[in-house]
Amino acid sequence: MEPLVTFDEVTKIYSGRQSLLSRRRSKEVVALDRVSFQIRSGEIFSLVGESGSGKTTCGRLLVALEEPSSGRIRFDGQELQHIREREMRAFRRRVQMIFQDPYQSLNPQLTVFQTVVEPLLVQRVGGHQEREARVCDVLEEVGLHPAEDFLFRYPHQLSGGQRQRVAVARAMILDPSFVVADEPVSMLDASIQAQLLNTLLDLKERHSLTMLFITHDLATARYLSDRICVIFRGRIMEHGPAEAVIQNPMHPYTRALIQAVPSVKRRREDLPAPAGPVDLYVSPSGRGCPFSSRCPSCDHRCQEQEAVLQEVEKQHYAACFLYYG
Amino acid sequence: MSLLQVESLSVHYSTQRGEVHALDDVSFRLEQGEALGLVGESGCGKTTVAMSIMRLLAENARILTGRILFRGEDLLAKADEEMRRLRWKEISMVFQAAMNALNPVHRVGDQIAEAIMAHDGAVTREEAQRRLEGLCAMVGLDPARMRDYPHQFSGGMRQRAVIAMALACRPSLVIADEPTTALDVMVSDQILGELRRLQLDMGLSILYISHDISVIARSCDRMGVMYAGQLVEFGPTDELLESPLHPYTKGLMRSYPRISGPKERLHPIPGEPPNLLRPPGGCRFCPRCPDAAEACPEQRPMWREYGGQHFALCHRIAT
Repeated sequence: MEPLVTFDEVTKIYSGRQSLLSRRRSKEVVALDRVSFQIRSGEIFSLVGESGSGKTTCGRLLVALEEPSSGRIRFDGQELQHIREREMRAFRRRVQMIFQDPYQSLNPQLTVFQTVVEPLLVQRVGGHQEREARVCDVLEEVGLHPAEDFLFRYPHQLSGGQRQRVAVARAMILDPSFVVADEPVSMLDASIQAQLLNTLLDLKERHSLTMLFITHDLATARYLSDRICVIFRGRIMEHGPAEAVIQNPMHPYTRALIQAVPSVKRRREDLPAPAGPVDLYVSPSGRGCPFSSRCPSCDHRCQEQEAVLQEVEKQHYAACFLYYG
Repeated sequence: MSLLQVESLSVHYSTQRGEVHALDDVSFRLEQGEALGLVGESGCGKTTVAMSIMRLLAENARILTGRILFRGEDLLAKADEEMRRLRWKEISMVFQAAMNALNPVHRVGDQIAEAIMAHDGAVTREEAQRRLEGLCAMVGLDPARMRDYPHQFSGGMRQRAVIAMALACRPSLVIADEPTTALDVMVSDQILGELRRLQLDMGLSILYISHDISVIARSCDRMGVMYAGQLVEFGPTDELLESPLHPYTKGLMRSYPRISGPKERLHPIPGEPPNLLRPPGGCRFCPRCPDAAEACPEQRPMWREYGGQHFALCHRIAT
């Protein structure tokens, strides 16, 4: 079956802006470096990475908020760069986005009803009554019930969790086939996070929704997704079925990441060796692995040559020389 | 004598919409050399506890009852000038947003040196410089980078600089309010490990405050759980996490997706925390509690010990 989303060798370079005071241009930033992956219809695909990994850039490219510097992105067989104005409207109807911060993504001057109904107006869907019914239905579905109690409230009258539910309702009202959710729960308290994660899982089941879930949190990615893709400094390090990546991580970077996830149950008394700060990575020369300067298994090849993604076990890929036969 | 003893502390904030009952009868002790954690979700009052200890509460805050004894002396009874001498030299704080805690137009090293000199009158610039180098080694910063400005630092380095600043005057108590919240997981893990090492090596006492149980679990000997302005459970970390007593603690622990073990559906606590303008009478957790019984909405539960220094505030725990 043709995947719903295909990233094919996508590179995104942010060129340096000329600064106000100096004539020098700052360096180019390679946010994504020849990234390829596919998202299958009906699955939740998690993109996991630390800050600066390029995960948000992937999401923005996918909803056509930005264009890749090179490479191709296909959605349902159609190449994004070739979608024209008229078709763009249809595309926007099928692809929706949920942002991280519900305090910034909702217009403070609009009521819940106005916020959620807006996509229907833009897409000219239904008559007045139908639209109202649909807004109520979707609010109930995301857990804001009774919906009537929420219709005429403003964002400042809602808690953070309720605001994010409004954002989810707005994304869902057009019954999209694909949703990009960029850290949708990271601003919320733990108990509210868990509620919202369950809501997302229910929506996926009921609407056979396909989702790109962008997160820094491996445990959340594991809970929600069918497949996980680990990205670091614009490069894919590993991807595969969620349980395989978590239980049997292949890439030393993924292993380090999993090891660093603190546990709720377990106390740790291992005191770290006084190594240098982990956030100081030395960029490899040439095409080397971005993790090589901190990797315990690094060998002479890692600094200079590129390890391409290898299928190490079924459907489970890693970009590391450890798996070069 | 405990290093710090908070006794039935109650704090209200006056707002345009009424009185916010931010803290209600909170008591706990922190021993010399101990790492103690307070965990709770936003609005539970954990930062109000920290700010009460530092005597840095907002102007609309009112302390209704309580004492805060530091080495046996009530901080709340101290004159402002006395308190200022204590702050930083005896009790310092690692603030949450490291970017905002550093002055963007001064070099990082100068800011730390200034903290040393401002609170330690007798120190010369040379001595401050020497101590600065020692601090860098302690928190894992490159002394050569001390001439940089905060924007040239990564998030992790900035947080380390803020920790160095908090340690600058060799305080006996450090309050760490969400010390690693905005950081990437590997950096956070490393910084928490370094703080733990400093705490054990230097006999430092640290009060950790976090919304994240796992941060507290990693770093603290004993911990307290706060909900809606009340301390609802308190005990040794291992014991409390292994067998939580309060229904809120249990619910909170079921809210975190796990990285290890079998994958199970989460069963989060339904509903949301109460509005503290009008907190529920009786037990404040009652409206969300799966075990609530008749007495719960009526009577405030008693703070009781359930063996092994493990305390909870609940009507429904069998003794």
